[in-house]
Amino acid sequence: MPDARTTPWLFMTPSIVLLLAVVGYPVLLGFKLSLYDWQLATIGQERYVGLANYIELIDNERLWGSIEFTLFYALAAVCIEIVLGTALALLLNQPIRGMRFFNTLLLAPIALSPVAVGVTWKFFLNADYGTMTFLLQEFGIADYQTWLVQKSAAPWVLIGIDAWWSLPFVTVILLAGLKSLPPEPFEAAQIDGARSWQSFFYITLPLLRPVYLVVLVIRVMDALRVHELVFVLTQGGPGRSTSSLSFLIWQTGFKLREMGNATAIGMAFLVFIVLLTAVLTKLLDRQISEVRN
Amino acid sequence: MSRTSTNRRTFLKKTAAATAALTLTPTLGFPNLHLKPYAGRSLTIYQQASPIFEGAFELFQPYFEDLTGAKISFVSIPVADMGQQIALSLTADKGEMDLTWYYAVYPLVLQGLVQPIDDFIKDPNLTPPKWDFADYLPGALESGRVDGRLYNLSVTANALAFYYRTDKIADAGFVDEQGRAVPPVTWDDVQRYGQALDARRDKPLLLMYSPNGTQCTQIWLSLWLAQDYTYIWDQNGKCIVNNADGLVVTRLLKDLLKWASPTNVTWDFPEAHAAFQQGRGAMLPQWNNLGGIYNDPANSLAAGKLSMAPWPRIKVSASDAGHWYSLIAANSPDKELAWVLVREYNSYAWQKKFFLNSAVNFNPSRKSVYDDPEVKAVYPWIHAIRDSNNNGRGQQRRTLEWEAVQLVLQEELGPYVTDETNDAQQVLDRIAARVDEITRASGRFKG
Repeated sequence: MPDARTTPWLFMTPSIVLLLAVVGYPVLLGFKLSLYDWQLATIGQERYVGLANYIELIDNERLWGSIEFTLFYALAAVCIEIVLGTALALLLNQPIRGMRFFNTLLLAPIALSPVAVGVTWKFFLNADYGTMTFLLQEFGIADYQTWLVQKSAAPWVLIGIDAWWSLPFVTVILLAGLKSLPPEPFEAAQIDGARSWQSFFYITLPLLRPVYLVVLVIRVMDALRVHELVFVLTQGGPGRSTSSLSFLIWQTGFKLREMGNATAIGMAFLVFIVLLTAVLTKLLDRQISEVRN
Repeated sequence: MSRTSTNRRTFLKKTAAATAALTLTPTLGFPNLHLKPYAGRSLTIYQQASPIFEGAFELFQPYFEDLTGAKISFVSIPVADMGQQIALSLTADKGEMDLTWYYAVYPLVLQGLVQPIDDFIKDPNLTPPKWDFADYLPGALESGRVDGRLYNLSVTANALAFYYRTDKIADAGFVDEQGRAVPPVTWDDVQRYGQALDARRDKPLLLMYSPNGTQCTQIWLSLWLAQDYTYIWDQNGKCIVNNADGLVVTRLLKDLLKWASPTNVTWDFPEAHAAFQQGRGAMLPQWNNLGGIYNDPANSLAAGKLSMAPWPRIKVSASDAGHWYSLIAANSPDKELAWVLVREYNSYAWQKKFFLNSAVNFNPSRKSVYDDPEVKAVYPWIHAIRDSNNNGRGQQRRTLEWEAVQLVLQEELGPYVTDETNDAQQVLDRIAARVDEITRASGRFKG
């Protein structure tokens, strides 16, 4: 008979086996491939090169550009989403008539696939016949725009689209957090004469910290993996200004056919993501226990 | 004993008669019933998801299935994904794909993933003499040969050429004695025409200049080739684009924008293609296999008002050639059947049919099609297709590192075209340095 110590393991075994098969094995295989000089079209002719692919990463100009863009993208997109998401969640938390309708409307972008989002926005932003050009002309602001091919503007366009797409998700999570807050601290603050902004900064925000961390963990992971929007809208350009790490891995592996290099970038990226997740999860645990105490 | 032997003889006679009757009766009774040599077999073909390729198969599929008894299934793939899908199938133990049409075939050939077709051509049972291989365009044929072996036949033989609107050019006064529009012959002419035709909302030139796409790179490359170069490197493998000729070409690339709408910096192939169909502009540097589509009144406002000229000269009229090849997978279990398809696809009758079909308009790879009176009547600019293909220089594509080089060109020329930088010499120096790095790593650089 299994005892109290072994029973949990018994129940977890199927999940562990599944995870090892679909995550563990590919990761190990990926690590093995990253130690080889292997072109996509040369199966059977791989050459073991040890850590050479990893050492090459240090001088890989494209990689450093991609890291810079990806971190900037994730940071900017998540910051915008959290600020706007908080504002929207506070608004939707008010007892206003018809808010349920807006709630439903707000959720619509979540249902869209990233490729559909990219294609729609590409059309919207088309400099010749896009809706944006029409609006700019209609309001006399400009004749047209070429943001997607401007080095300085293209990253912000992608960030803006990401924010538009992910804002509902962030809002819904924060709204759920707001609705679950206990009313007592707010009632006490009201009796003590606290203003609404004081209630927000000194009660709402501290109590929502674990929720914010959940949002942060999920959204940062998502934003770091951005590929589809880049693929559809800019192909990493102009120059390399919007080349995300996921796009670079695809480009190195499937366009330049250097699978060894691509897997080395992938493995380094994986280690970074795992470390970041570990730090964020640790922070989350700490916040939850603080709130509980 | 004798009774047994008589019975056996009788049995054999009856069996032979029955077999003959069973074999011959359907053929005699139903003269239209032919025995299909590949009945029950099937081919899976990867093709680009585009109306051109899908249209071609729509025409061809019933004919081929009726001829062979085999079934064809098509997998339409967006062009950006084709390379990886093809490579994955070719390198699998049992790939899904038997055959494809694709352009970047050289690395795949070098790795032994593509089936050579010489043996199929030599076999009279598979390639009857009337197929007439001597009729094949030598350029298209040579570009499919690697180390003396033939791997690919051209599906459509393409090079960059120059489309122009006869009405707009004539209205601007560029006409011959008969009042017919005269196309620009040099890039100086193009600029002269541009100046004469310039208008604010409908600039005369339509340019594919998006730094996020590949066409801008190909136009720059074709301007370089028009300086009478074949490669962007010298015999030692050293990149030479940062010379005086390169500077002229790079500045010209930007100067041409004067005669194009500023939004052209956002255009790649689809945008320029659509703009010409919408009747915009008067001149379009573009691949030479689209005349049929542009001349189809159902699809184009330019129909009946356009023509095509060879690539305008700087020193010569040479441009980038970009053939699409038929490629038989070396790991296909049905290579012979795949060849039968390629053979039929490249027959005189089908080359002509594809070319005359305005939705497909594959450029022929057979000389006789170019000389066909019916073809000449439908496409008066047929000589421009032939000339641009004859002058096309696609040799650079036959290097393993070409994709990497092209990416460098794209990354460095983009900021110059979009005015992030205006220092052409610096752009070219960076291109040369980065291309040298790539060729050095490949072992080809001897400098």
